[in-house]
Amino acid sequence: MAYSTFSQEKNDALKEPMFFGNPVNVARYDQQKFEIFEKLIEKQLSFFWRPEEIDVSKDRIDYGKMSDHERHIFISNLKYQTLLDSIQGRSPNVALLPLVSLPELETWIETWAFSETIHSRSYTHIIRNITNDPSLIFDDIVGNKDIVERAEYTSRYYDDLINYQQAYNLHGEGVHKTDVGELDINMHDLKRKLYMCLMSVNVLEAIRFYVSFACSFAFAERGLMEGNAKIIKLIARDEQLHLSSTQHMINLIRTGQDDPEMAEIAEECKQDAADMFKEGAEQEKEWAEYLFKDGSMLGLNKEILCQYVEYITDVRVKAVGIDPIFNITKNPIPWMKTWLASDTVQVAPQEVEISSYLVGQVDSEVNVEDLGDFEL
Amino acid sequence: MKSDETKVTVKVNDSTEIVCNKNENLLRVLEKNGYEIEYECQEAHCGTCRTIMNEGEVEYTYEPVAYIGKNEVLPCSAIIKSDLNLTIEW
Repeated sequence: MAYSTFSQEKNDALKEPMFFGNPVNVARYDQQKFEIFEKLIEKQLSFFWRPEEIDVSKDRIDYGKMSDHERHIFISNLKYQTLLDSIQGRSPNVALLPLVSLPELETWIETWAFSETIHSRSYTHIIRNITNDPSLIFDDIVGNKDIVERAEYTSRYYDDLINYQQAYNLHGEGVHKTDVGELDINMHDLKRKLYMCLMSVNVLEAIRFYVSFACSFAFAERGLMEGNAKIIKLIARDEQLHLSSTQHMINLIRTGQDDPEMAEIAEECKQDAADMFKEGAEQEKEWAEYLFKDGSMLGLNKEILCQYVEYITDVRVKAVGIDPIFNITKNPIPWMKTWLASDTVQVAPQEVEISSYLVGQVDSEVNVEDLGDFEL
Repeated sequence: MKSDETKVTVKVNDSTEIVCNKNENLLRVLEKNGYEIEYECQEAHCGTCRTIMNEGEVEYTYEPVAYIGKNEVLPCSAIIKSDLNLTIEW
C-alpha cells in the first residue's frame, strides 16, 4: 500500500494494529488504543532539557589535566555516542513512521527521535568546550573502525527495514529490482524485519549506551568532568524512557495484544533475538577492551566493565521474555545506581550546579481526597 | 509516604516472610532484608526493578510508564497495600 501523508480512508484507529494497518490520518489523542504511548510522550516532554543549561566550563580544566589514555577513554565514548545518537535522531522517523497506524504511537516516535537530537546537540556542546577544533573529533568518527563496526550493526536492521518498506510502499508484494538488489517483498518478511529492527533498537537502548555511561560516571565519581556527567545523566534518563517504549512495543506484540501474525513472528524470532542480545553484549565487551587498551582508569577496568555488560544484559533480556544469557547475579558497579536514579539528579547541591529542577512537569493526578477541603 | 501501624507480610519465594508496615516502599523493605534488587530510575519509568508478584496489592507513588507484565510489580515506586507474595529469581 502506498504511503500517504493524508490517508483519506476513513478508519477507526482503535481497531488498527500498531504497524501495517491504515496510515494515520487525523492526529487525535482523545481516544487511544494503547494509552501508554501518550503517557510516554507526556513523560518525555516533562524531561525536556537543553544542553546549554549545563555549565561544562570546569570540564575544560579537568580535560587538560587528564593522561593520554584517559583522554582516549573519554573522547572515544563521546564519538561513539555521537554516532549512535546521530542514527537514533533520524532512524525511528524514517523507518517506523511510514508503517505506523496509531496516532499516539506516531507522535511518540517523533517525540522520541526529537529527544535524540537533543543528545546529539549536547555532544557538540561538550566537545566545543574541551577542544578549539571540534572537527578533529567529529571528522574521525566515520573513519574509526571500532566505532563504525558497532554502529553499523544497529543501522543494518534499520536499513534493511527501510529498503523493504519503501519497495513495498511503491510496488506492493512481489519480486522487485531495486538499487539494493532484487527484493522479494512479502508481508510476513516485512513484519519479521520490523520485529528484528525493534529488537535491535531495544539492544541499543538497553546495553549499548551503558559502557559509555559507566565511564562518564566513573570520571565524575572522582570529581572529574562533572558537567559532562550531568549531561550524560540527563541522557541516561531519556534513554531509560526510550528503552521502556521499545519494551512496550515488543511485549505488546509478543503477548498477542496487537497483531496476531506479529505475535507468531515474535515467537519465530525468539532465538534470533537472544542471539542479537548476546552479540550486542560481546561487541560492548570488545569496546571496553578498546577503551582500556592503553590503561585503565581509577575505579573502573575492562574486567569490571565486561561483567557489568553481562549483568545488565541479563536484566534487559528478561524484560522482553528472553532467558538470562550470562547468569551474572550481582551488579559489579553498584555506584551506577546513584547516577541512574531520576530523583537523585543532584545528591550534593553544594558541589556542582543544580540541574534537578523540572521543566514543564505537570502532576495531573487528582484524587477525591484532594477535594476534601472544598465546601459548596 | 508515611507508613502506618498496620502490619503486612511480604512472602518471598514461598520461604521467607518479612513483616513490615503497610504503606512502606517495597524496594526499601526488600533492601532492608538483604534482597539486592537492581533498580535505576526509582520513578517507575525504566522498569529495571521489575519483579514477579504472585499475589497482593500495591499503589504507585509515580504513575508507571515502564512495562509491567501480568503478575509483575515495580518495587522502586510501589507502596505496599496488602500482604504480598513475591518471586525473586536472583
